[in-house]
Amino acid sequence: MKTRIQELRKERKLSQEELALAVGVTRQTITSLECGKYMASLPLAYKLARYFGMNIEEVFLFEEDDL
Amino acid sequence: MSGLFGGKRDFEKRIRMRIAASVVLVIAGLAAVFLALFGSDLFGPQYSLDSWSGGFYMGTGCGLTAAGMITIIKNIRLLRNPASREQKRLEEYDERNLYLRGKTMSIASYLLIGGMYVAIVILGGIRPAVAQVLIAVEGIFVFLIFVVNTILRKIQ
Repeated sequence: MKTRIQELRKERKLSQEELALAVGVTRQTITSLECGKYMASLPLAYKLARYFGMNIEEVFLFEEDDL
Repeated sequence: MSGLFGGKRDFEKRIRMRIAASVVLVIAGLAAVFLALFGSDLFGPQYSLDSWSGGFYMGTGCGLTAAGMITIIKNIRLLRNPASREQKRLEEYDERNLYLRGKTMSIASYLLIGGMYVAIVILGGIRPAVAQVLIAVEGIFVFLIFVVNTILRKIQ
């Protein structure tokens, strides 16, 4: 699944560490999410979307294959 | 959500519980060492341990005591240092770490079951007693998987 986490993080000039602290996960989790290696749980997706002030589907780009 | 991410107060409670559990471990360890050293003096020569059993209880006791003391020291340090406590909390409740932990246990369980099955087949004709013990352990393991899975299906 593709995400816009890296793009949104860089727009806000945040490090992975800062974003990780803000949403209560480790930096490695943010790295894996940005690479698309790990799929976030619904609570974490909600936290990230709320942190960026967006809806979940604006941060996480679902494709037919993901559903 | 609080269960997934773990509240700060919950984590402090968890650390205190770990310290309490470690105190029990230290006491059990010291008791094992004490019994290994003075068991026959206390309960009479008929309760004296042979050299293997004495070594086993001494080793187990020393191991439990050391593990308990290390855990106590590590957790007291965490209680005194909010920054490292927060870092540890993040690591323990991080959802990817939890996922990896579950996946690791699952793969290791399959490997253990497979490895024991191979050992049973090989040892069946050579050491029947060992094979019987392994069959019993494998049976209990599979039974526990069934019971835990049934309970989880009902509550989740």
